[in-house]
Amino acid sequence: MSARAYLLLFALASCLAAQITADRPLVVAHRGASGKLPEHTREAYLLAIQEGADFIECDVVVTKDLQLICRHEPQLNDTTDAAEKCRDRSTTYEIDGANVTGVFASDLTHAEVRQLRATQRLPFRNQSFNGNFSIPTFAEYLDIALQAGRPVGLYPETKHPAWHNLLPTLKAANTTIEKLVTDVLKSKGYDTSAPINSTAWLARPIVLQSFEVNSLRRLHELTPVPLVYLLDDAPDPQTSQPLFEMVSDANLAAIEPFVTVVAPWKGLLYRVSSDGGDKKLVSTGLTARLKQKGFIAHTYTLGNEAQFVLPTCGGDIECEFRFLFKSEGIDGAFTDYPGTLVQWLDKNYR
Amino acid sequence: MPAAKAPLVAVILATCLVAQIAAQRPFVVGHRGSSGKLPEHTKEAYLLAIQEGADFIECDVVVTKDLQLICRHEPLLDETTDAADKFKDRSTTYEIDGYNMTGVFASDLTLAEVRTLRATQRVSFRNQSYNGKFKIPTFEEYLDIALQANRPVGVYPETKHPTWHNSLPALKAAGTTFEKLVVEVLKAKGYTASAPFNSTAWRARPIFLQSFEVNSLRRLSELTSVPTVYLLDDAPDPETRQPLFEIVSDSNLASIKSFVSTVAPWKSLLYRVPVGSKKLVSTGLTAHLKRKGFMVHTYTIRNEVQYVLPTCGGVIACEFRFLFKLEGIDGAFADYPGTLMQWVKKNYKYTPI
Repeated sequence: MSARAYLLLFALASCLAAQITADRPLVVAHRGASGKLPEHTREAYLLAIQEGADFIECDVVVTKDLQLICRHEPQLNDTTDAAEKCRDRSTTYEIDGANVTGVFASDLTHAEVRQLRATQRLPFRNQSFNGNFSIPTFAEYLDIALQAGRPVGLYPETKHPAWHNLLPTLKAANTTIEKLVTDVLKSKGYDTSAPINSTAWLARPIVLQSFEVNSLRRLHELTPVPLVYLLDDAPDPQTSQPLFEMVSDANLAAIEPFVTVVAPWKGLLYRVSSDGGDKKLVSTGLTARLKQKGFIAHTYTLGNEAQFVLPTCGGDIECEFRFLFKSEGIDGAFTDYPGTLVQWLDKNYR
Repeated sequence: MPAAKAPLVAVILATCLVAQIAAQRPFVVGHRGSSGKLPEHTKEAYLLAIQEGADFIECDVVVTKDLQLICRHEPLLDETTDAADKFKDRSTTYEIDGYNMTGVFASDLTLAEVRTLRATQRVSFRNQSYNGKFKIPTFEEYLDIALQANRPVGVYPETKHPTWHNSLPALKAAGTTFEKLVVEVLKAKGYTASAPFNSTAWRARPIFLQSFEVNSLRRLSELTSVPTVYLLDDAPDPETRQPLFEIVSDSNLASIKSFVSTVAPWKSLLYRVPVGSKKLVSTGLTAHLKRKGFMVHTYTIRNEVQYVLPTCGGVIACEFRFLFKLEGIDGAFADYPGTLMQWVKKNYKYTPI
């Protein structure tokens, strides 16, 4: 067989093998394969794709010259060498009511960000790649997904949108983080109005996520891409709605027109009951409630290390998988180790 | 005025007046007595609350070593009595609701020993000049204070840390529960016929039984049918560990309806202030609970400016308007019951309980 034929066969095989489907939970590589490689780097994204992730996730923050990069927060000290390289640029901002000090992406030009190298945030994870990898732009992240050879979904997050939208640079340019994000998506052909799980969407999967419901509202005015509302055990940082109000009938009905997926922190899905001495996981009923109200339910974040695994599982991550996917019926999950979850899903779903 | 409109206006006006008269005014609960002015949970604080017009006086019930019931906000006595000096050698550590607490515990003293203690003012910026003067009342003495008032004064006892109390060796050895101990005393004082809420029997001896632990209310409801109150904090139920959003879900509220008459959320759960806004916005919790058929009480109202709701600029009448006029709260715990009752009398037609 000719080389081309082999190539076609291989492409077909991986296409069929790793087709995103609505029949099994989606694997979202949380900041890429961030358990193994420094988060939000090209390398972490590529490894996630290699391990079979359905989606790779980018948290979008904005530089001083309005370029979009992938970083978990505007403050760069915890995941790059910015503290050494830009020592004199350290400053303090108040974000969501807390003072944060360090070197901020919004104070560096993109050229300056290009000088930085990524580091592993968690001390008990592999430190040997520190200083090797660059910080990718949002456009580069999109290209990685587009060049994967099989459909790889995008899962960008607008990070601290209210804070970003108040920055002098954005105001001076009369723009918003939502506009900046959707402009880049448009330029890469991601502005089709394919509903979630449709054939067209499965060919070019994308959702947009945020902790701030009003960011989703603004995104909804700019793009037909399906939206994800992230819930933490804390109020919406901008509306200040407490959790019980966010999941009330009235509020869920109010957001239903523009929110497709609700993604609670996994700690909100269960509690530990010590009925009769034996500790067990009991569902709080939140997943069922969201699904009953017509939402798709995702959750975050899974990690292989024993301290991240759900209580009562004794560190056994398959116990967590069984609870989230078999018991709760979660439709998709963020994980730092996409390969582990992909392998378990391959064994437990068609 | 056109002929057809005049009768309509008259009807509307009449309905308005009737509604004004009939509008159930909120209850004023003296939180630990009149605790803003006098050391909390003392005969003196309870009497002052009654003098100031409180509808209810509140006792938090804790248990002594010899299974006597006293009124104290927590089993640890150091913060509101002189126990730390008088019983220095009895200091110990217990884990309660996941926290380690160290000091002199009521459950390690006999009632005779508790009787030697004197109450102190817990809050440093409140009147310290009564420290060392007042005794610690028993639960029975508290009930007598209410019964001997010259108008119906209700009681509002709380079972404090019921799971912790029920696991104490003294209670287990006696084969009893905290709930049984409380109800026995209530029975002896004639409170167990006070059901249902607002019946003639209830209005003669008004009572609410409150707890943060829903299963304590369940156990109480098996012993007596007087109205119960489920207290909610911005935290899970200490015993079931149900988080707040699960507690207030439709299914959970339906499951507790048969034995809980009132839900009492912490007042901060009732509102939020959107970032950058200068107005209080309702979280809808009060309305949700009322729709599900519960009465709604809240805690705690305090005069000092740092305790008044945000956006009110320290003006407590602003807080009252939000809680009672906007939210429709049916009753509230106040450290200064006199202040609240004065406002209630000005804004509602006053009727006794």
